[in-house]
Amino acid sequence: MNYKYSTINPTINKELYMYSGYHGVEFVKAYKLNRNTTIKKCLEKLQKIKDKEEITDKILNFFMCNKYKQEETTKLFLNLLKNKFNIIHKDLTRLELNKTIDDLDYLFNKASSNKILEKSRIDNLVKKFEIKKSFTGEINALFSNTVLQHDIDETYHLIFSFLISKYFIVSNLLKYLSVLLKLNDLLIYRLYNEECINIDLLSCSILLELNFFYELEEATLGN
Amino acid sequence: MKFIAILANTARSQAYLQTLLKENLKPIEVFILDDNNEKYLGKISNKTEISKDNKQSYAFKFAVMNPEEDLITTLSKTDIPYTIINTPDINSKDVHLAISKSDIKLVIISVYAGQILKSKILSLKKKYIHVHSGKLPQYRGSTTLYYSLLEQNKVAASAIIINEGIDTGDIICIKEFDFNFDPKLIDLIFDPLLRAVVLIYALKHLSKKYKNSMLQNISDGEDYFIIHPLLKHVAILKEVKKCTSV
Repeated sequence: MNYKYSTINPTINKELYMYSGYHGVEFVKAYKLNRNTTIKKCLEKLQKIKDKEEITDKILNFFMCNKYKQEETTKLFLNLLKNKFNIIHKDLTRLELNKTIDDLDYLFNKASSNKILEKSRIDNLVKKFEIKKSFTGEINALFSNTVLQHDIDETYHLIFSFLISKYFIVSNLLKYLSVLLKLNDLLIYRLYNEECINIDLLSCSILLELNFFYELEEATLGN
Repeated sequence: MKFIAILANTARSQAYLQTLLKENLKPIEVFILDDNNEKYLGKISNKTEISKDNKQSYAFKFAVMNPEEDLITTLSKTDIPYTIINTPDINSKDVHLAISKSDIKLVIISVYAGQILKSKILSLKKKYIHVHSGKLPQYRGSTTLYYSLLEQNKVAASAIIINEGIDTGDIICIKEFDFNFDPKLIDLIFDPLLRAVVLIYALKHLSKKYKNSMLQNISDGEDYFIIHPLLKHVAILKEVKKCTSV
């Protein structure tokens, strides 16, 4: 069976996740195949980029050998995000116009220094994502450069992925894992149907999600 | 106790109506929100696992549901007057007009997926009863039955008086149960039956001379959004595993 949730654009199909059907263990297998295939595709793309060799090796290493090493994946994800965060903030002071972006920046700075993330701010971002699926919608008009606009939108989705992952580790509340799964569905949809600029970050986001899922699967189903 | 019911053409409404009649609790009038078969969520169709051809009735506690029997068929067996309103929208002018003509204060609500009651209909000074399939205030929002199964190994439903928030109204009653049902039938059979059980408890509670409802503290509990299908599968598979290991 096919895993359809990363083949349909959730920003247009608002009922995508409502009353989803039951397909037994085949669905779980299809999900794993979807994620593993996507990581492989990301690695193939990364291997074609010269200055990404080191990152590619690291991700390949995590993918092949350290599936369950959550801490290592989180560290790699954070380091890659820090670099990206600094790059987009060099020239883009206009981003301060958006409260949601302010919140994401604020929480990312806190997460980077391993400080406690405020639940109310995380929950506001979850609500925003669940309803709008975008954090940068209000400021998109500020950019005439659509590639830059897309990069910023994608980067903030990936920052959100990191924050949600961190918060899920602390809270163990499955509602945060549910958001992460939907977020990665959206990013994978864009990888195959639109564009994905930050392939290394996407790989980390999916790897972390897989880590969480394998743990849950083992705890609940004993597989 | 006098009450009316506003019912969408859904499995939940079927369970409500059939259970109310079984328990001899007859609405004064029923308003059916007709969607002209444009809505498909929350309905038992030939595409779903529980086909109408199945001819099977289901029960949970004292709630009953024959998926084959639609609202009109059920109502036709009674003398309850009913009105078909030609819109699926609970907030439409037509619904507002119809409800405002009734002098009954208590209204049972079962609407289509994703709808909430807006301020206009809420301003009619009626008490709208909604049954949420989750323990409040801990589990507010969508698909909380699955989250509760995964996190607590229990299922619950709470009857509330609807206000402008999402599942934040005053609580009439809460009932919690161990889950013991076919996990593959949660959405369209078990969830409606669970809510129907708690609806009956709520009506019985409201008919008492000394009744009280519980205010919710909005800062308590969690807001949930629709569960991702993967987690839904884990919840169901966990229950399937429990059934097969017994």
